[in-house]
Formats: sequence, structure tokens, C-alpha cells
Amino acid sequence: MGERTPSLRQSYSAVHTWAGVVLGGVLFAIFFMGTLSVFDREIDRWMMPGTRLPDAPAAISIDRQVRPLIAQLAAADKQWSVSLPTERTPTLLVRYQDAEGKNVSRHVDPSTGTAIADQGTLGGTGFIFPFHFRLHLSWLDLGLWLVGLAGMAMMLLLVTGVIIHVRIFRDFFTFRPKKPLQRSSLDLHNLAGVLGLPFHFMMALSGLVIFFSLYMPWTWKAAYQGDNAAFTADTFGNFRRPALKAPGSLGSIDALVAEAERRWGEGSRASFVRIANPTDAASVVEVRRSGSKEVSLSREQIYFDGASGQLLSTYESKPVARVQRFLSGIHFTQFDDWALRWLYFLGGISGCVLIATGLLIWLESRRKQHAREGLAGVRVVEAIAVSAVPGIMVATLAFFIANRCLPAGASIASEGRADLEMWVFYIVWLGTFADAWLRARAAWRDQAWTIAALAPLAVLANWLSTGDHPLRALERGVPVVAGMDALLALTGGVAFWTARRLGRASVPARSAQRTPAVLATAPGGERHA
Amino acid sequence: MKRAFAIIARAVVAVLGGYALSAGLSAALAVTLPLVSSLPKSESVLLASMLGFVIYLLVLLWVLVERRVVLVLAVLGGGALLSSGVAYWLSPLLAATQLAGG
Repeated sequence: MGERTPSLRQSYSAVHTWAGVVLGGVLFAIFFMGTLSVFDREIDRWMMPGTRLPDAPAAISIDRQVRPLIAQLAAADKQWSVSLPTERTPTLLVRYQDAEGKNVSRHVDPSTGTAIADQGTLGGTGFIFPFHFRLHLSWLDLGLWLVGLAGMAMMLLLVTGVIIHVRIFRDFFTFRPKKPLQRSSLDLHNLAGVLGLPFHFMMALSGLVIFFSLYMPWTWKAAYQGDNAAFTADTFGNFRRPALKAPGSLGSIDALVAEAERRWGEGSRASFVRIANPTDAASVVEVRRSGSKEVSLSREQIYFDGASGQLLSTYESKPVARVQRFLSGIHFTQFDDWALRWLYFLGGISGCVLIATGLLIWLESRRKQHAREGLAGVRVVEAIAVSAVPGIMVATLAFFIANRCLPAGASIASEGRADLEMWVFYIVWLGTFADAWLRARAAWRDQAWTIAALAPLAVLANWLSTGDHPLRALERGVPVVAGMDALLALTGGVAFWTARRLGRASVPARSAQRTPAVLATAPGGERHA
Repeated sequence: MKRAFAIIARAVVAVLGGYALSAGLSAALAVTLPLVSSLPKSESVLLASMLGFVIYLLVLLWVLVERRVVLVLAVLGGGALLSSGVAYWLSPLLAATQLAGG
């Protein structure tokens, strides 16, 4: 490195490298869990066999199917709610507080009105999806803030990536898989980056926009003098009123749902109903509109008086609010459109490939130099990269297998079945880090083989524990279970191919002689041209 | 060692200082817009918050490659102080005009 000041492109290249190396692991975890979350409800069906029901009947009665259950199980005066079945969720999901004050959520079979036994798992919606935006680090909201930082870093990486990528149009059409790892990784990195650029950028920005009131709170704090209730009432139409502390009765909820659907117009459906202060004279019934036919997370809601059914409040979003809801909807993917959902899944995979190849490029370009100079960088980053990329996949597969193998009601030292599944995830993940630290470069191959073995094992575990092998699942009217098995099998196949290829590639001396130009790198040099 | 310090210092200044500037600017915008236009408070808050992320990205793209350290510190520090000052002093004014039905 001479005394010549680096060019702007070189400076942005350094920014890209540093941001990528420091946050690449976190970014992969976020993108991987996010990609899985596209199918979180489908994963729920796989992990909760009791909810593998065919499509719900069109006519749902909350009065007949939910209220008796609430009367039986819930603390009478506490708030309760019910999410109505959708195309992707064939059950009613009821949430209430029980006699001991514990928050409970139960799936209900809509055709019989009976509660489904507690499945003893958090599933896709309870573990995988929250991991995506919170990393399960709740202490001081650290997880949320780390994800926020990663989101900003993602946008920075994308913009700097474009800036340093000179031949962006020519490289669009280049992928050389037979070349040594570093060259083909770079091709794949550029391809995944350029092809998915609008998607990756929009996912990062929209993710941040969802949490604007957490990440940019001084806007509403300044405008509303810190009054959060006034802010949410104004911006999201949240309505609440204090209890009168006098007894009251609750009228027909079905009638209120019907009234709400009438007000919203032809073809609109309710998605969610919440009852506040149910036994009070000032009870409030909130009916939320389903946005499953649109991208936007519109969340329009109507509030009724529980006893008389009188309209208390409606909410219609204003223009800028509709933009924020649309951006949120782009990220949340709660719409009913399979083609679009699969495109999101493929987009997510391209993001995972982008981040993983980025880490690989850095490792391969620094490996020789760091070994020569006795630097720890490659060893540390490699350990993180291996546990972040194949490692988290191994842990997730172990999570799925534990879900199918743990007996119902299993418990160790007051950790329930759902907690035990999470323990399996974290212990296995730690194991992959240990493997990465001890075995260094060979760990990539170790874990590729592990994935190749665990993925079909998960399919087998499902078959043995539920009898729902793919053909039977299709027969029973739950094709999503077959879909999950198919994706697991595909993952196993790709891992097998990768492991074989990594096994062949571990003859570095010969390939180094053949392509010295690629493997010999200047210190700190990136070959993005 | 000196290089490591320089890199870490630049990163910290960019991430924290950039955040302070973006947060300050978005807060000032959120309070000013309803005072100078007919945009409702809730709309202004949403618009300013969403723009805040874009502003942060642009600030990062500048700070991370700007060689003039004094300029960076002046813009980030001064800008954050100035804009949050504006937000702080205009906030009660906005509350008063809203109460008056303004």
C-alpha cells in the first residue's frame, strides 16, 4: 500500500469488505430464517401434526365454535381474541389468559369446534419467524437493534457493491461453476446480487420501515410529546376505552363480524376479532379486515360496543400511512398468492447465496496471506462463517428432527417440550461452531455431509411419527406437508452434491498451479473487475 | 494498530454519528411539516420516519469515505445538535397549534 490516496472506488470496496465480514454471519442468519418464514405457516403444519387439517369450511361461527371454549378455559374478565382460518391456516387460533394469568394460544378445529391438543412446539411462526427479526435476544431489545443495524448494513452493502462492480452488465451473464472456488463464488455473488438487487434492497428497507416507531422514535416523540397512545390512535386507528367496572353482557359476535364485512364492502372478510373487557359494561369488540387479497398490510379495523353492537370507531388509512402499510405488506407476505410466495422464497435463497458467497470470497482471498503472516483473521471469520451458514442449517434440521422425535409432554428440569426443541437447536449450533473452530476449512465439508444426512432423516422422522409420507399427505388434503418433505429432500440433495464437490476441491496444490492468477492475491485486494 | 484504531473509529463515528444526525433530521422534519403545510401529524411522522432510513443510508455513504475528519465531525455533531434542537423547541408549538384546532 503506497502513500497514494485510495480512489473512491477503493474506499467503497473497503467499506463493502468490512461491513460484509463483520455482519455477514448475522445477515445470513436473518436472511435464512426470513426465507424459511415465507413458509412459516406451512412449517407449522409440518411441526404441528394435530393442525394438519384440510381447508376450513367457509362458514365460521365464533359464537358457536369459540365462545363455549373461552367460557370453559379462559379467565372470564380478561381480553381474548381469535384469528379466523385462512387459505394457509386451516384452524381457528384462539388467544386468552387462563385462570393462573398465563397467556395461552390454542388451535381449534373449525369443523367440529373442538380445541386441538397442545402441540408442544413453537413451530415456524413461533420460533423461526421471531428469530428472523429478533434473533431471540430479548434482553434490552438487543436482537431487534442488531437486526436493525444489519438492515442498514445490507443496504450499504448493496449500494457499495454496485459502486465497485464495474462491468455490471457483462457480468450479469457470467457464471463459471467449474472454475476454482474463489472465481465461481465471485460469479455467483455478482449474479445473486445483480439479479436480486431490487428484492434485497426492498426487503432491507421495508423491514426497517415496519419497525419505524422503534428505530426512529424521535419523530413521533417530538410530534406527539411522547404520548404513545395518542400516536398509535392517530396513526393506526387503535381505539380503547377504560372499563366501567360494572357487569355487562356480550351480544352476538357473528352479527358484528357480518356488520363489519357489510361496511367494508362486497367480498371483504374479517381476519381477526378481539374482545376487550368481555364481562364489563364497556366491552369492546374489534373486528380486523383480512388483507389476504392484497399486498398491503392494511389492518383496517372497526370497533363495536360489545353489548349493544353500536359502532364506536372505524379506521381508514391516509395516503402516507397506506405507503407504510404497503411497504410493510411487501415484507410480511401475508397475501394468498402461491406464485408470488415462491418468488419470494427464491429471492430469499438468492440473498442467502449472496451473503454466503461473499464470506467465501473473503476467506479464499485472504487464506494464503493470513497463514503466511500468522494472522488470526481467517480462522475467526471462518469459524463464524461456517457456524453462520451451514451451521445454522444443521441446527434448524436438528430442530425439525427433535420436533418429530420428542414425545408429547416431554419435559426436563421444568423445560417443556417447546423449550427442549429450542435447546436442541442451540446446543447443535454451538456444536457446529466448535467443529468450525477445531476443524477450520474441513468443517465446510463436515457440515455439508451432516446436512446431507439430516435432511432426509427429517423426512423419515415425519413419516415414522405421523404416517404422513408425501403421497398420503397429498391424499389427505394437506399438500404443504409433502411440499416441506420435498424441500427437505432437495436440501439434502444439494448438500450431498456440495459435500462431494468440496471433497474433490480439497486438493489445493494442483489447482493452484493451474490458475495462479486467481489464487494469488495482493494484500487487501478484491477482484471485483 | 493505528490502522485498526482508524477503522474502528470511523465505523463508530459513522454508525452512531450518522444515526444521531438522521434521527435529529427526521424528528425536525416530523415537527416542521405539519406547521408549514396541511399535512396531518400522523402522516408527517410516518413520512419523516421512512425518510430517516434513506437519510441514514446517504449519510453513511458519505461519512465512510470522506477524508476530512473535521468536516465529518462538524456536520454530524453540529447537524444532530441543530436538528434535534429544532425538534425539541418546535414540539410544544406543534402541540399548541393542534389544541387550537390549527
